[in-house]
Formats: sequence, C-alpha cells, structure tokens
Amino acid sequence: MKRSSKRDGAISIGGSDLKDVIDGARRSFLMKAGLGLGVGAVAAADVLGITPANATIGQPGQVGRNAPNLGTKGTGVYPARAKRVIYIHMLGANSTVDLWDNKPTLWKLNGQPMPQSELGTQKLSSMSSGQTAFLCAAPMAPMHQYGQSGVWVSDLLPHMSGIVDDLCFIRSMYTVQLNHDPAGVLMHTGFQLPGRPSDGAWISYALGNDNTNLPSFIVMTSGVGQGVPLDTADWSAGFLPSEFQGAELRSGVDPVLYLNNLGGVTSQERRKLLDSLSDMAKADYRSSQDPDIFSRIRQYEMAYRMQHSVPEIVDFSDEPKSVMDMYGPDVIQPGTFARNCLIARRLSERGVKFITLYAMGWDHHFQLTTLLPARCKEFDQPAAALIRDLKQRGMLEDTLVVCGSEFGRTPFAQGSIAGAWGRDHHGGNYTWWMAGGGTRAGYTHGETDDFSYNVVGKPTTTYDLNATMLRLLGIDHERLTYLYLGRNYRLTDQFGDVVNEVIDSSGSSLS
Amino acid sequence: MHFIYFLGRFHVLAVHLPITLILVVAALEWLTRQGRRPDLEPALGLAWAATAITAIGTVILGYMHFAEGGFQGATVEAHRALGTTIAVVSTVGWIMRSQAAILFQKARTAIVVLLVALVVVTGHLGGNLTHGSGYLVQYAPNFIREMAGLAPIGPRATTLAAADPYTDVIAPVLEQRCSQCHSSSQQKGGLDMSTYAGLMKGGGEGPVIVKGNAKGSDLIRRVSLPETDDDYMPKEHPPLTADQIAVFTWWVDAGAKTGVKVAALDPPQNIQTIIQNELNPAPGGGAAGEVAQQSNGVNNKDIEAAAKKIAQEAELSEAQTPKQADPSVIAHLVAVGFMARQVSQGDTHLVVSPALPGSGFSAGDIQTLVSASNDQVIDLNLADSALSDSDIAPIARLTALTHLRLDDNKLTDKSLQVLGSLPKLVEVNLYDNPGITDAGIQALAAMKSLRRVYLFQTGVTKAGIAKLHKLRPDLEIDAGDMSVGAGGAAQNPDPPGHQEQDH
Repeated sequence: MKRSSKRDGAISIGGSDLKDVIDGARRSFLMKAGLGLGVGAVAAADVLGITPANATIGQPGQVGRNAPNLGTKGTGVYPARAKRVIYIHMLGANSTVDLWDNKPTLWKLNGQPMPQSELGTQKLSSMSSGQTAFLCAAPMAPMHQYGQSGVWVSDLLPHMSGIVDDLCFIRSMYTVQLNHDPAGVLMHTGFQLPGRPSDGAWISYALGNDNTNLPSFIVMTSGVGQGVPLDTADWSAGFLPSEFQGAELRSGVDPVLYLNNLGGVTSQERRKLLDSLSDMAKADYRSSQDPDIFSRIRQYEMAYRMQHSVPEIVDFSDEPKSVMDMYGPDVIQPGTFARNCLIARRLSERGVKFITLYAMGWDHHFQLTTLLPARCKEFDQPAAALIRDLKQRGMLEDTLVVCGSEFGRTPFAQGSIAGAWGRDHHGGNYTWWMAGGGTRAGYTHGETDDFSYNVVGKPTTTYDLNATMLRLLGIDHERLTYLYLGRNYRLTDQFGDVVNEVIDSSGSSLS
Repeated sequence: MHFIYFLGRFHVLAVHLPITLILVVAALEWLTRQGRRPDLEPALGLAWAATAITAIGTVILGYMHFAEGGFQGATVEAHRALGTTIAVVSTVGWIMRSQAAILFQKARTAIVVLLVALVVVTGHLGGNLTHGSGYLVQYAPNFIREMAGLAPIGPRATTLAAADPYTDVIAPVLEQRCSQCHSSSQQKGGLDMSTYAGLMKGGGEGPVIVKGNAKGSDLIRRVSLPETDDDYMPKEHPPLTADQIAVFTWWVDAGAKTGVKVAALDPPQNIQTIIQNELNPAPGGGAAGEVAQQSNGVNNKDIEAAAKKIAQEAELSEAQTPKQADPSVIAHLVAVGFMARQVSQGDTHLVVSPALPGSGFSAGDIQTLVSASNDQVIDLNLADSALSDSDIAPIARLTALTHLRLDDNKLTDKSLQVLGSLPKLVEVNLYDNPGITDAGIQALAAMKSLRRVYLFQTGVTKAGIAKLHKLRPDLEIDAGDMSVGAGGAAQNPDPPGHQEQDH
C-alpha cells in the first residue's frame, strides 16, 4: 500500500467528460449569494433533462424523458476492458482454505497443533483467541486439480471446477479487520466506518448507466445471514448525490414493492402527476437552490420507468430450458442465489453497470462439516452457470465478475475438533476469484504458506482489488475524487495499487 | 491450603501498592524539606500509614505465594528478606513520625533513601522471579548486557553453514519456552536450562538429555507427552510445535553438540527446512516475503513482463491530452436512441450501444447512425434489436469498427457478406441468430482481421465449426460446448493434467 501523491484531488475534466451537473448545481448554489436567482433556473432545466435536445430520447411506446445517463465522466482515462461489474459477496466469510487453497500440510497435521512459529503474532478474533490449543483442521473434502491451469478445487465445488480456466485467482488477499461489518464496509467503501460512498455508487457516479430505464447500481440478496449483519452502508451513496445509492431488489416474488399503479390510476395519470411534481420541484429549486431536489426527482422518474423495465427482468419465460437447467433447480425459487445469478445476467444484458449479489450464510464458526457443503451446493452450480452463460453469449469479455468474502477462515479449528467444530475469522490470507472483464484467465496471483495462514508472496488488499476493478472499467482510482468537507475523497482512501498481473495483456477489447 | 495459594497469587498484583506509595512518600518528604510546602504536611501522615499497612499486607501475601513451592535459590531468598525489611522499615518510619517527631526529623533522609533503594532492588528481584532473569536485558544494547554478565547479541546466523545447533537453534526455543521455570534463578525441579552446562547436568531426578539417545532423554519424552499427562512439559503452557520437537530429537540423536555448525552435522532434508525457517522467520500478518514460485505452471517472467506492459499502457493513456468527441455526432446518435461514449478521455473514437436495450432499431435508425459517425465508431452493440439482413446493410461503411455485437437478432448468412467489407473487424458476436448456418463459414473465414467469433445458438453445426477451425486455426470460436481455440479449454473438466490429491 503506498500513499499516493499523484495528482490527488485533481479531477480531470476533459475529453468527452459531460458537464458535471451535480457540481454545476452546487456551484450555482454558491453563486446565488452574489448573482441572484437566474443561474439556478438554468441549472434546473439542465439537470431535469428537459432541454429540447434531450426531450426526444426513447422509442415509440417507451417511456423516455431523460438523456442517457453517462455519469459525470462518461468515460475513464483508460480504454475500458470491462463495461459492467457483477460483484458476488459471500457474506459471512467463506472458508477458502477448504475450497481453493490446497495445503497438503493440513492433511498431514490434521488434529495436531499449529506450530507456534506459524501462528506468530497474527491477530486472532476474540472468539478463538482464548483457546488453549489451535489444532490444524484438514479441508472438508478432497481437492483435485482441474483445467489447463491446474488449479486445485474442492470436491464441494464440482461445477466451479469445470470453469477454472476462465477464472483468475488472487490467493494473497489479506485484511486488518476481523469483524464482519467493518471488514465488509472497508471492502465496499474503502473505509471501515460507514458513511463513505460504496464501490457501485462511485462507479455509477463516474460512468452512469448503459440503460436509461434501470438504475445503474442494483443489489440483490439471497440466503440467511445467521447473525452476520447485512449493512446498507455497503451500497450507500455516502456523500455522493443520493441517486447513486444501490437499488435493492427484494428477494421475494415482487422485486420492487408497490411497483404497479394503484387501481384506477393509469400510466398517463401517473405521468401527469410526476410532471406536476417536477414543476413544483423547479419552483422549489429556484428558492432553495438545493441540488438534492434533482436527485429526488430523478429517482421518481427512475421509479416510473422501472414500472416497465423491472417486471420484464424477472419474467424468465423467454429463457430456453437449457439455460434454466444450467442454473439448477433453485432458479425458479425467489430469493435463491441461483435466481439472483440469472437476474444478474439479464440485468447485465440490459446494461446495468454494477450488480452486487449477496450470498449470505458463510459464517461457519461451528458445524462447518454440515453447513459448508450445504452452502456450496447452493452456490456452486449457479455461480459456474453465470460464468458459462456470460461466456457463450460473448459477454464475459466485457463483464467483470468478482467473488469473495470480507475475510477468510482459520486453518485451525474453532471449538473441539471432536465436536461440531468450525473455523474462526481469519484476515491473514484468503482467496478471491475474478472472471472476464479483461482479467487474465487461468492465472493465480500470490502465494500463501504451508498452512494457508500467512501470505508469502504478492500481498493484496481490498484497496488493490478496488483499484484494479476501477482500472478495468477505465478509471484511474487516484483521479476519481469527490470534494466533501474540504477534502477530495476516493474509493481507495489513500491506498491501493492496481494489480497489473491480473490484467490480460493479450489485447484489450478496444485495441 | 489451596485458598492460601489462591490469595498468594495476588502478591504480584498487591505489590504495586507499596511500591507506588513509597515513591509518593519520598516525593512528599522531598517537597516538604526544611519547612517548605507546609500545605502538603497533612498528606504525609496518611501516606506513611498507607505505605506501612500495604507493605505488611504484601509481605503476608508474599509468604503465602512462597508456600506454594517451586521458588528456590538465592534470588527468592533475597527477595523475601528485602521485602520483609521494607515492611519493617516503613512501619518503623510511620511510628517514629507520629510518636517521635524530633528523632524522625534527624533520621528522615536516611530512612527515605533506604526505602527507595530497597524497593528498587526487591522489585527487580521479584521481576526476575516472574519473568526470568534475562527478561529485562533481552533486548538491551550490548554494553548493558555485558554489565549484566550476559553474552552480547551478535548478528544472528541465518544459514545452516553459519549456525551453531545449540546457540542458534536450541537455545532460543529453551529461552522462549522453558526459562520461565528452569533458569539460574528459578530452578524448578533443580533444573537450569539457561546454559548448555546446566542443560547437560540435568535436574534433581537426573540428566534430562542423553547424548545420542533421544528416546532415552527425559526432555524429549516429556515434551512429547499429551498435555494432560502429569509429566508433560512445559507444564500449564501450550506444547512445543511438531517442528520444534523434531529438531530437538534430531539434535539429541546427533550428540547434542555445540561448538560445531549445523551443516557439519548433515541434518536430513525436513530438519534442514525447519531450521532454515527458524533462522529466517517470515514476517506475520500478510507482509510480503520472497515471491514463491507459481504452482500452476504460469511462467513468472512472462507475467511480470505482461504486467509491465499493462502499466506502460496505463501511463500512455494518462499522458494523453483530453479530447472531446464531436457533440453534433453524439446528438445525432442520441436522437435515434443510441448512447455513445468515447473510448477514453484521450481517444475520441466512439463506443455505441442502445440507450434502451431490447427496444429495437429501424433501418432508418441504423442509417442515421452510419451517416453521422461512419469513421468514428469502434465498438457497436446492436444486440437484441430486432434487426434483419437489410437493416444492417449500412454498417459496411463503419470503417473503424473493431468490435460488433449482433447477438439475438434475425440475421442470416447474407449479413456475413456485409461484415466481410469491414476492414478492421476483430470480433463479432452472432449468438442466437438461427439464420446463420454452415453456408456462412466461408464468408467468416475470409475476414482477415477477425480474431474471435461467437456462434452459440446459431444454425452452425459441429461440422461447420470444425471446417472454420481448419480454415482459420488462429480464430477463437466460442460456440458453447463446441468451442474451439483459446476459449475452449475450460470445457474439459478432466484434462490429462488431472492429479489425485495425496492424503
């Protein structure tokens, strides 16, 4: 982690950068004191997207009153290798020592104490730090090598093992936070206390969306957290305008509640209502100059457009049986990971920039032997299907899929190894995988020691991961900043280095 | 009796009270010397009383702690005697001060200095008892260690050729894991493990090491026992690691030598590895060590070169002057339902996609797109747009086009003729166009610049794929389970490289 000195805070506005409407509104607020009311009215017309040039967007029969949302930058500094991101967060911390990081030593020393030299001074969670013994626990299931890349995969992931050559692994992830919530918030926002904008919010803010009728940042959840909090700070817009916050699709049958018009209210009436609201908002803006008024109106407009776009997203009737079968039997059950994966693919096809899938229930302090295989069964087939499905459609190339947890789990057992033992939180090392979006397929980055306890090569932080994700989207993580309370903030706080090794160098999608 | 031991252990906590109070008394006595600061006088009576009472209490607790056993040697004798003296002196001082003030004034300085001196020495001895005599000076600069009669710490050996098996390998473990109870000051069981001579001499029950016979050595036997065994060592502490026990066993079997080099004893490979690791401890907590060899056969050098190339590309992009694409071109595209972005801030070529994916385009829309931006568009997405062959005919004039998505439309082999005239086309996605068949293979093969084609869910058969692969082996063909080329490898779940996990 280096402290960046390069151009910190210098927002490059050039190239095809669209007018930064939000800052424009902010400026006009500041100018109000000196220049009076006129400026604000101009900005309002601009922001509400009702200038003549914008008014014609949309197809006959479609609802389209806004110009395409290209974000505040439109494009990044680099040619983008990925146009969108599907971010799978295995909430609760999956045990990568059981699934990916094969260590013969743990088989050999199963049930024997971890050497003191190995444990060293690494921080332990308070849930196991009081244990008198730290006994090595062998992985849940045998592992085998797969693909041309020869990656080791647990027998618990029979479907994932078939696609390892499409994946890029980072084995050497580590973090300083050992509690779920701060570790997750750190991962998504670059800071362990809630309040900063999240990854998806930053990316929406910078790049907007490739579909006018859907939010640019969508969040879906599946599974049960088992006491691990699902923190809305993970998809918060922080101090960015509130429209960049992740839109949460519910896991029930209706992904958005109250989406349909009330009985007796027609679409035309709804439209008229919104137009009147818009007029009032403009009047409000003239007096208050508060840019958040636009955020709210844009969200009303988005909700209106989602009345048409969302039901179609979750209507799988146009999916052939072969595709449904690929995702497995869970795909027809609302609230399952399988269904969310298919929805994510459909959202990606429709140009949604950032989709976060929370697969919950990986916090296996106890009963690892029964819970881990159960979670893997829910996870394995859909996750592999998502990659295959994107690939055969030619979309994996520009869709970046990243998957992992807020930290890892210990190679030693928590609780008595004779009983319902589990594994405790472990920040020393854990594995993430990425696919598509310009990543180097079949490559494994970083090394861990013989116990999968410490990183011994190419340590990688969540800052590095976020910097790399932005880089693949064409964004320089040091230049994507937002001035708040007198300081330019970034997704990567003051840290992060792009992991160039995981980027495919054989030619960009735009060479 | 156990209750006595329980209370006794509070000695190490309670001892801090008289220590602090004696220092407070000394400070107050100094401040009030020769009639200065009379306002502090009242505090002194109280301080002396508290000192004496806590000192007596601590000494009582100390005797209880001693009753537990296990403390032997000169250190504990001295500590006991001096501690008792402190209780006596502080009590005498307290009584003199209240009952014989004039006498006290004459002896005041002597009593206070004596108490402070006693507390320093006694406290240090007590610290040696609980933490081991080397504790304080373990990390001291060498000149202080020499004053304390210890060997100076040289640069620690890091190689097997330079390391002494006792000094560099065995002794550090003994010091860390054993010296708390078996040192020169606290010889539990009569055993002093702080020196080589002491270790060889053994304890009250005889020698603990039999040179050349690890099995017959009591030390090896005890550290190998389960933690629940009465003879287990280190008592009430976590066991030695498997690696440490292995090294001890090897060392004793090899004659328990010192004054030679590890390499000269020719240890077996596993012992060499363990010792090597002990001599060069890896930093914990995820810090970077040496970059290990990639296990999956990817060549590190190639990866590093590629990473360098990526970093250079990034620098080039960063150095480019920002340029803005022609806004009138973009306005034309937006007017017919497209969304257009520049490739990057320094590259004004356009990436064009539908603003409302799935809503379809007319022939007129495509015509507008082409005439407005014919040499600007580098990447065009026309997926799921209800297009037929005639609709896309104008895109033949998009001369800069490299990436084209036409998936999920109603195209036939005729369209491939159109694509053939795109000079720079690198990649085309024809997924889900059932009208594309084996009859179009020839046209695809003729596209010289093409590097990748998506043909899943088209009318192309396995034979067609094979034919295309034969005509254009350089072409990556993705057709789901019929894929050929670089992208096809992952379809084989059980390749020749498959190995059984050895366990």
